[in-house]
Amino acid sequence: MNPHLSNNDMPPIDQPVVWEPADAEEALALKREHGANAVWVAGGTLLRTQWEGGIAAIPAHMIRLDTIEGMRSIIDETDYVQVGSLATLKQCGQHAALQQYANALYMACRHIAAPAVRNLATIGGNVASAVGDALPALLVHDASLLWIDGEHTPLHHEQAAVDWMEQVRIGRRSLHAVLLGIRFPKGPVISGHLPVQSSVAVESTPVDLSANAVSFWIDEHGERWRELCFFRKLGRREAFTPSLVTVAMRCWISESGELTRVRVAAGGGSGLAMRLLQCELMLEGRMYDATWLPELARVAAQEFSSYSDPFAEAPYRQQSAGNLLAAGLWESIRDMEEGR
Amino acid sequence: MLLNRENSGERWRKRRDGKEKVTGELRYLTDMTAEGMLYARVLRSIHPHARIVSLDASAAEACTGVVAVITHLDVPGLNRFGIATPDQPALCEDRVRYIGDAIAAVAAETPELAEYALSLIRVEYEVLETITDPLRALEEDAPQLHPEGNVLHRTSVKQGHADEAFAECAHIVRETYRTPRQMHAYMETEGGLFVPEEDGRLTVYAPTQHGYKDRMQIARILGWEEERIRVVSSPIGGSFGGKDELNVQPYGSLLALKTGRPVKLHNSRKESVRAGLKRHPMTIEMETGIDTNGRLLAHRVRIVADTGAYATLGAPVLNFATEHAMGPYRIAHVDIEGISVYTNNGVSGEFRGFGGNQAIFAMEGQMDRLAETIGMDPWEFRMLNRRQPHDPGPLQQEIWRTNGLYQVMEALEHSTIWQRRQSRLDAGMAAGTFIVDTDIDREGHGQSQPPWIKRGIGAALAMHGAGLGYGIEDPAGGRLSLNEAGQIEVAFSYEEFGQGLIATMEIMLIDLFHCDPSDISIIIGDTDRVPHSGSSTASRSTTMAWMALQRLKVPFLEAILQEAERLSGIPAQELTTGIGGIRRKLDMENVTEQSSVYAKAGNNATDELVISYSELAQQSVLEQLVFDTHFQYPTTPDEVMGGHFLYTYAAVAAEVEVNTLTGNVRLLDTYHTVAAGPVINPMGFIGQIEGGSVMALGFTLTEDSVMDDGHYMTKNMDTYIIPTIQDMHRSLEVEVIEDLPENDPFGPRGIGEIGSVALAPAITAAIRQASGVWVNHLPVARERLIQPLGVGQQEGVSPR
Repeated sequence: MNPHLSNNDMPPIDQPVVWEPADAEEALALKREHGANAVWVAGGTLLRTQWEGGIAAIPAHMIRLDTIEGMRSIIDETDYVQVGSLATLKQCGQHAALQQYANALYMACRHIAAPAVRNLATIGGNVASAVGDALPALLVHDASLLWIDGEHTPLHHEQAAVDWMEQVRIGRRSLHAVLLGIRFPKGPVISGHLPVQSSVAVESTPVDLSANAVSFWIDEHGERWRELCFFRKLGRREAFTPSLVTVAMRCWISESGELTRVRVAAGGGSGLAMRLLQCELMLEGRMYDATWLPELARVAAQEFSSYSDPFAEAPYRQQSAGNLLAAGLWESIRDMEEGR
Repeated sequence: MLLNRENSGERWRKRRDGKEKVTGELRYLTDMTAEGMLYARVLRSIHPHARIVSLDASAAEACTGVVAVITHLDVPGLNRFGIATPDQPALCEDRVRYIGDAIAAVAAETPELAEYALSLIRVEYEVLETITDPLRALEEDAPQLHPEGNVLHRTSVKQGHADEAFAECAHIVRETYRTPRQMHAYMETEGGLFVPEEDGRLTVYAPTQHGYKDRMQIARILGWEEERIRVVSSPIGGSFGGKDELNVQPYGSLLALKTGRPVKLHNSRKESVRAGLKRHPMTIEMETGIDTNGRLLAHRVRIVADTGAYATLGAPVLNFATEHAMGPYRIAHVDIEGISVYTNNGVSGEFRGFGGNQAIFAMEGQMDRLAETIGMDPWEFRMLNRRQPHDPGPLQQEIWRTNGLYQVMEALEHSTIWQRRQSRLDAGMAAGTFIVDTDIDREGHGQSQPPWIKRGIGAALAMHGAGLGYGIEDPAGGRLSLNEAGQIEVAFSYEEFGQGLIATMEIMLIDLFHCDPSDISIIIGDTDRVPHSGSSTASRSTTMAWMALQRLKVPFLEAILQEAERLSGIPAQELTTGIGGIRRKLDMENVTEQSSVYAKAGNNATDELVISYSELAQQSVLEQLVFDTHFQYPTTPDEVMGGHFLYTYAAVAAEVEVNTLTGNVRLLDTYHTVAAGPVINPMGFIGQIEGGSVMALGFTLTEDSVMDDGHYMTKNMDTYIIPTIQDMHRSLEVEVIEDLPENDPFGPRGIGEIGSVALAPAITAAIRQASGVWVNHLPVARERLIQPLGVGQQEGVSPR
């Protein structure tokens, strides 16, 4: 800076004002005050790529969310695991409770961007972006979102992730809501254990896409059901890549091969993640048989609505999503049979 | 010999610039600052093709904190640049031809002010038709981008009578190949610091591959004598051809002179993508015919290169592609025509491989398709058709003969990877058969491969010319001296852009003088301190440095030993150079013996030190210990424009995995064998081949600067996808052929490009074997390889 120039001489270069609310209520008040001129910022990783790419303008006001206390922890409760929205992707991709009870999310978080980004990026930001790779995982885990919302009475409320996605789809999401946390119900598990290798889930561990947490559930007839859960991401390269397609699936399989509580979801890129209800219907109560996997792939491809951009056409995204879902199920069964 | 740490012994040396680079301590030229410096920014066109109706910079000039604004009116000399043909405006006068064209530049007290000032410059455009397709550019009613029209350059090679010969062919393969607009993606974007000196000179600290050429071009723009400019150009954070042409230098220089203050200018990545050079996208149609025995008879090629808005080195790139479009094969009847066409798609220019990558991809694709047509092994087919040792070059020009072609072909045939392919075929897996394998993960756990994972192995061959070629000034030389600090100093105008030139020179000097690295000083990249020895391009620096040192070592040694004799009284013939200074030979026999250099250096350490280099420097007239040499890079004697004389040979094999669920391709094991003469610096050699190979992997699978109506769709590294370490080969073997004919005077050949030219066709051949699909457009589209689950998979999808 030239010492002869005082601030008064400076031309009007816009610098954003950065606000540091102490709590969520204050964050809401700031947003109410500055409206469309203000954006929430948590890790800031997605916003920076949008600014640099000219997709979004640098706003006049930034409201930091990372100054708010108590939104970083992941808490393992009896019936659910609650993830604070400021938990980083790195935290989520290393957490034993998520590995066991929300495995699709755990795997998703390990494959978003690169380690340096995952150190900063938050799960809340990924979800609130509405196009994050974590969203299919939320859908298959029946996750719910904990909001504080200036447009909602009462201020605090819990909403199923799938309902929120629908609001986003029809353009009705609240612009005055702060995501406080995400709740992952544990489901009907009565017993479970973690595979040995997952107790030390560090960044350097080779990523095994088929690593499933093993959770069991014994029903009233004494039938044992085992959880199958997987997440797949297809990008334009092996790592540090935006997704072309992400898919997730979760279900329970009996010893005789019957599937139940099936959840199937797909998303990826800048498309909105969606539950694939026809696939779920097709699989619910069905006995596993590899011969119907091509049909599953077809149904999923048909049901998944995607989009085209310079890097992939919609039909390709749809077909690969279908293939990845059917293949993911095949691989999960193989892994189960091979004792993984 | 497989090149690796074990086989390299003491030559496996850490490069002297390595630690500084990996720790980030090294200060690149774009890291430099100067007291009182200004920050510059460039206003670039927002339209790919438009007339400039009006330009008003007054508001920017009036802005507080803005020290200078320049437009074309501020260019005192020639308002054009371009290494070969200066046709690119430094600052556009009345027309813009691509989205990176510069219209004005600003120097201000802060980067933010400079950026703000750009927003105050008013440019009124009249938008013109964007020429996005070279074929549209060739139509009669297309807008003309340059006074001489839309054709930059044409090439033509006619040998024999192709038309008649095609009628005789038993089989003909016709195919159209397309290659991507690859970006150099160097880590350090273009930039520099421009300092007006008190003595009226200008110092330019800006990375380039040829400091003297930049000096000439900047002088031409400023209307100055070249000598008034000093260009400091190394170290460089990567170039790959992309920084050979001028980039920000005109703006930095003009602004520094206008303001009288140092000016810093450093492109953001976004601006680098927008303004920077790319590899020429080419469409190559090939029609190749063979007789009933599989011998090549006729070959017709049509190359269309999209050279973008300006010439830079578009013409030589097309020459090179044309020369390499018939590969290392004997073909009696050849009909090749090439055309390089101006469009509004960015600017294409020099890029590692220089047009060879595109042509070799197409030619090797033809060889594989022809071999398959007649059911012949692809390598056997190549052997049947390869050039004979005494054959002339592809342009019928005289070339320096080596056995490199035969040697690399034989090496590949015996490589583990090719043997593996052979044993699969022997086991009854015909080409196109899906191969299911057991994947062993890093912990050694076996996991049965799902049926949608297909593997294949392919190979390709390359003969790659080095040097600029016939008809282009290609100077070489160097200087060897004893400097004031008592070091053996070598000076070249070559540049260090990461390729390992400094490390290689250090080893060459230790080889020659048996001294310690601390006894050596290497001066490069500074026009005030180095002689004009040409550019670091076209795989030429290593050969040139070696040849220069061969010329300089005898007079230099004679002189310093004579000087040592004068000072010590010991006869010169009893003296030798060694660690720390001139030493007396203890064992005369050892000196003449051609034992390992390092063994000799070891002996030197125990030889009696007669006089240290620093004492010698203090007591001598140093001007008498300076030796220069000047010569030309070896060129073919035949008058064939662009024809090369020295060739390097390489063969590459690659194993890939195709996932038919997604069409994703992964490179597994890779093998490069290279015949390039003696290896000076093994670690550097592997680095060059591996780096070139990974760059070629990007060219093959993911990299393309996608454009829409003259605008980049891939504006940054988040959408322009280069390979990461996760995408690289699973393993890489480099086998070197070091033999050269007896008394070969040219020494080690450069290997800066050869690693990057033949991987693409090896990968596409492997994809063919794995999936049954011929790929002719790069990067490989997943859409071509994806299959519905369960189709074409004999195994079905049952896990058991």
